[in-house]
Formats: sequence, C-alpha cells, structure tokens
Amino acid sequence: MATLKYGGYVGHIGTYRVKGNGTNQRSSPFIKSNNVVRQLSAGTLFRNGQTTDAGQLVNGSRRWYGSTNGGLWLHSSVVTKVSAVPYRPTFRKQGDGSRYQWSNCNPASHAMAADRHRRGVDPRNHHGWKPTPVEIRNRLIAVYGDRNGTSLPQNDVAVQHLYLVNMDVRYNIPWSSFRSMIISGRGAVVPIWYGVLPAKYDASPGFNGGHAVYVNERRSSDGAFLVYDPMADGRRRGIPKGPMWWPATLLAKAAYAYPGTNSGCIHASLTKDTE
Amino acid sequence: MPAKHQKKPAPRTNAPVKDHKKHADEILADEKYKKKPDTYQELNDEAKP
Repeated sequence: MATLKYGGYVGHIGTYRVKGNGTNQRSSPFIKSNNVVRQLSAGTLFRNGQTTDAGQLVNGSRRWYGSTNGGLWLHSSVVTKVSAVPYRPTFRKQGDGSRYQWSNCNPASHAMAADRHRRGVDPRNHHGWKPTPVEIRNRLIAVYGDRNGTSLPQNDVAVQHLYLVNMDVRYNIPWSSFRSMIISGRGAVVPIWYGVLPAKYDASPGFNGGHAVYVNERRSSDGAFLVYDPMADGRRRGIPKGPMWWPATLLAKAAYAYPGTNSGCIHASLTKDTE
Repeated sequence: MPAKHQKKPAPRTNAPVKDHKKHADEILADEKYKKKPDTYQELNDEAKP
C-alpha cells in the first residue's frame, strides 16, 4: 500500500528512466535548497508508486512522481516512462481440427486467459500445460454433456479444474470499468457480436453471430486493445493471423452488440491482476 | 455575494478514473455484477471456416 503524500494518488504507476546526469531527487515535490536527497545519473531507473499534480510548477507542469512511501520525488519532466508490457499468452486458434473446432471460441479464449492468469507457469498437476482449447472442451463435455454452446461460468469451472485458474465472471459491467480492469493488469474473455467487425478484423467472412475473444492489454498511446481472436489463424489469404490491436471503439461496439447486454455495458470473464 | 440557494452543479459523470486498480477491485467486489442476467446467452458461434 502506498503512503500518499502531497496530494498523491495511485496513477501513472510504473518504471521511469532518468533523462539527464545530475538530476535532483527530492524528499518532497518542491524545489528547495534543503530537500535534495541525492543526484541521479542518466539512465537510473525509478519505480513510481504515486503521482501528485500539486507539486511545484516546473516547465509548465505540477506533476511529480513519488516513491511508494512518499519520501522520494522526481519531476515528470526529468524522466521518461519505461514501457511495461504485460505477460502475453500463447495464441490459441480454435480451428485445430477437433470435433467442435468452429464452436470452440470460448474454450480457446479461456485457454489463452488461463495462460495469462498463471503467467505461463505450469501448476504441475496431472493435466496438460499450456492450456489448449480441446482439453477445456473435453472437460466441458465431461461435466455438461456433448453440446456446441458453452458459457463463461462453465469455462471458468473447467479452467479451475484443469489449471487452478479462478476467473472472475461479471455481467453488464460499464465499459469504463472494464477498461480500468485491463489497464490495471487483468486479461479478459469478452463475448462479442461478430457481424459488426469490418473486413480488416474479420477472421470468418460471412459469419454473423456470437463469438468470444481474449483481450490482453491496452495501449496507452492510442487506447487500442490487444485482441486475440481465436479464429484469426491466417488459414487463407485475407484472414488475419494472431493477436491484433483493435481500436477501443471497435471492441466496445462489438461487445455492446452481444445479445443480452445492457446499454453501455459488456460481459467479461477476468483473469487475476498479474502485473 | 453568491445567491443563498444556488443550484448545486450536477455530479460529474464519466469522470476520469484516477486509480484504475482501486476502481477495478470495487466493481469486481460489487454483487450486482455477479448475477447472471436472465438474458445471458451461451456462446454457440458455429463460425465459418
């Protein structure tokens, strides 16, 4: 837990790199003659545990980055953020030749979510690793019977049994809350309506139904989401292959369009916060 | 002098979330998002190869 000081809040968290030699690190977000703790050299890494927008105005900004205990501060203009990439799971395609391959979007998406949840670490039980769509499907058949359709909670039960992964299934969460969940370090399986996708993102031309995708992260520069569509296997020309950055507006539109969701809300099954 | 009975400004909606982790944890803990709605549909995509 951060000890918030000087109007600090938990935001812009991450690792930052000092730009220049002789950068003063201070005990408070103000320029004073008696609060320099040390001088840092270019390239020094600083872990930001809190941010204040109420420090001394420097170069047009009052933003300072502070340590978790609020005892060390650097002005935002003297550092650059080191990009933090969350764990990226192995892409799993649903078209794997198995019996239910073209109805297997949910198990395939949950295979990727389970991989993210565990950050690729094998639970070392008697099931396979890494997670596969067919192993999850076989578990679903064993528990719920031989049928095409699968639900988020059913897949949650299956990945708990197979990989010790406990997903958080939530319904009709506001889009802004979903965005916070992704930004703060969770992955998610999201039901979407496939018919709204433009050709560039369409991995099954002519299909216009419910589908599940796995969402791994959000890019801060443009707000796009890294989406793993299990149908995007590049099986022929014109079919996208592997994870793609989807504009936030597109993912929201597709998730809103899934039948049964309230206006402005989506369903999602969230991994734990892995970051 | 401000009027005595000035109308309060409307609460801000869509205010930027300052602490995403805290907000995410609050929503995840909220019971109202855990209940599966009657309108929930299984995923039965039957996509086209």
